Amino acid sequence: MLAHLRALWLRVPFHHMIPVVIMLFLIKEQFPFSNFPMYSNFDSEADVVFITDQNDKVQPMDKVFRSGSSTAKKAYKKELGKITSKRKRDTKEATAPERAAAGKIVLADWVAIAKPGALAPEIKALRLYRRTFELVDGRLSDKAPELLAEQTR
Amino acid sequence: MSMPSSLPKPRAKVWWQPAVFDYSQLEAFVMRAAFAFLLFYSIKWETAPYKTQRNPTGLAHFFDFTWLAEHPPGPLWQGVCILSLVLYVLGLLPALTLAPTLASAIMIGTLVTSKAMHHSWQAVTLIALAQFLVYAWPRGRQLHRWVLGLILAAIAGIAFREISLLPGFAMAMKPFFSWLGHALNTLIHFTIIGFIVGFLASEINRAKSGLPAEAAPLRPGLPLHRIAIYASTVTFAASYVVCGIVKLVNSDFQWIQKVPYLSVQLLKSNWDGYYDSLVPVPEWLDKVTQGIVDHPHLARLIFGSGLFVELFAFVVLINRRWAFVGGLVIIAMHLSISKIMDLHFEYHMAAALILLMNVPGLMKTFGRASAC
Repeated sequence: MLAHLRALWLRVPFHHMIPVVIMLFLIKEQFPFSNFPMYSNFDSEADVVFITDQNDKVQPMDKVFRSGSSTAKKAYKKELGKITSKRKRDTKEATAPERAAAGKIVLADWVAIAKPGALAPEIKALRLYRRTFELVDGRLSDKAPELLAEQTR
Repeated sequence: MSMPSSLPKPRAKVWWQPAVFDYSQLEAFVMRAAFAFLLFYSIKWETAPYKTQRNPTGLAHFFDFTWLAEHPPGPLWQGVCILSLVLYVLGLLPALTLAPTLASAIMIGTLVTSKAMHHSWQAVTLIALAQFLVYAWPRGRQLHRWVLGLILAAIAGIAFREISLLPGFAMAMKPFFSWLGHALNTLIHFTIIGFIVGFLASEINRAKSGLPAEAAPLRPGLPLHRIAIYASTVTFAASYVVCGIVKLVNSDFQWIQKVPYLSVQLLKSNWDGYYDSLVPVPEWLDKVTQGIVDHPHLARLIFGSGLFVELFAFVVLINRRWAFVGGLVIIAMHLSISKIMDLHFEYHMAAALILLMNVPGLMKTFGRASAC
């Protein structure tokens, strides 16, 4: 039976690659396996997060935290997802307090991993902001950044 | 470095049923050397920033890798990896000598992606895993069954763990039926994975068992290296094809239609780069993003070609020439993404250069007798 199935399968084009594709598709994101879903779907909105000091001076995330804006955004979305999924809602429907709660967790993580000495001594607090880009009626717009969290050092 | 005449000359029967390419010793050696460098270089050895695995992925569901943040692998362990990779390049006990670096890549990669998902070096680790499985998989039927049985038992264990974690059990009837539906879904999901693992493992076992007995078991011959390179190429091609399929599925087959929305993604990715380094975003960014919105069909044509490249990446398995052209196109695609979106896939480009373009084999690729 299995031998027959195998013989049949070996007639399928690219019969070694197709099982790997199916496997990656089913396993999804479990390192080192992945279905590589980056930019697989998008809508009219996209956001970035960044960190500033107490005077809103932007801090270079790679240099200061060794972990960039894109990673922080993904971590923020994951935390937000955990919060909103408890209430059976999508992250797009998150309220301001929910976004702030997720932002607080992420900022705490990023403050904890700051490179020793990379932050100037006069920096007393760090802020996490979210900036959203939007395509509305054929025009691109850039909303004022939203303060998600602030943490003193 | 030419191939001994006693070696079987593998040849594809028809183009859609590709077989192992007839790489020479020199080509296989250069590929191993370049890939060893790529694998080592792709590992994020600086693990100190990854103190939590709050969003576990892969083995992080079962093991805590945060100790790597407290004790980042230092020069001693990296030295062990380099030394073992030198032996791997020389073809000495390749499974054993690839293992330390592969283990480091998987553990560190799991820790890093358990903070937030990254995809820049994932394919390289996956290729290394495929090579390791080819080199390490037992030849004998009995041992093959034992190892496969253990792996299938582990998959079954993960499936039952998943089912036990499903919410809604032991409640009213409706949650029970909801749980039952999810449980059946999970069972089918893992059964398919189990079948695929069984098929691929049997194919590796069959291919290895069909090889002549090794004259020097510590240093396997060219046919095994060819199989390992073939497995690497299959894995690499599959990662592009699945990426294309996921684009279609996740967008409800509207990906091409939605291309104008890529304009906001371009803004996002370029501003990401600014917040990482404080290097100003390019001056042309606003013009290009608005251009995508103003000329949606042209944008669909340009970005749609990227989707086409991904979906048809399997052509690199047909023969050497297709592999070369496919590799060239993949590198061109990544270079344009680097320029426009500030997203860099150096490791993918390097893998395409090593496995597909295969520079040492260019003469053979474009020689008269080039077949497979």
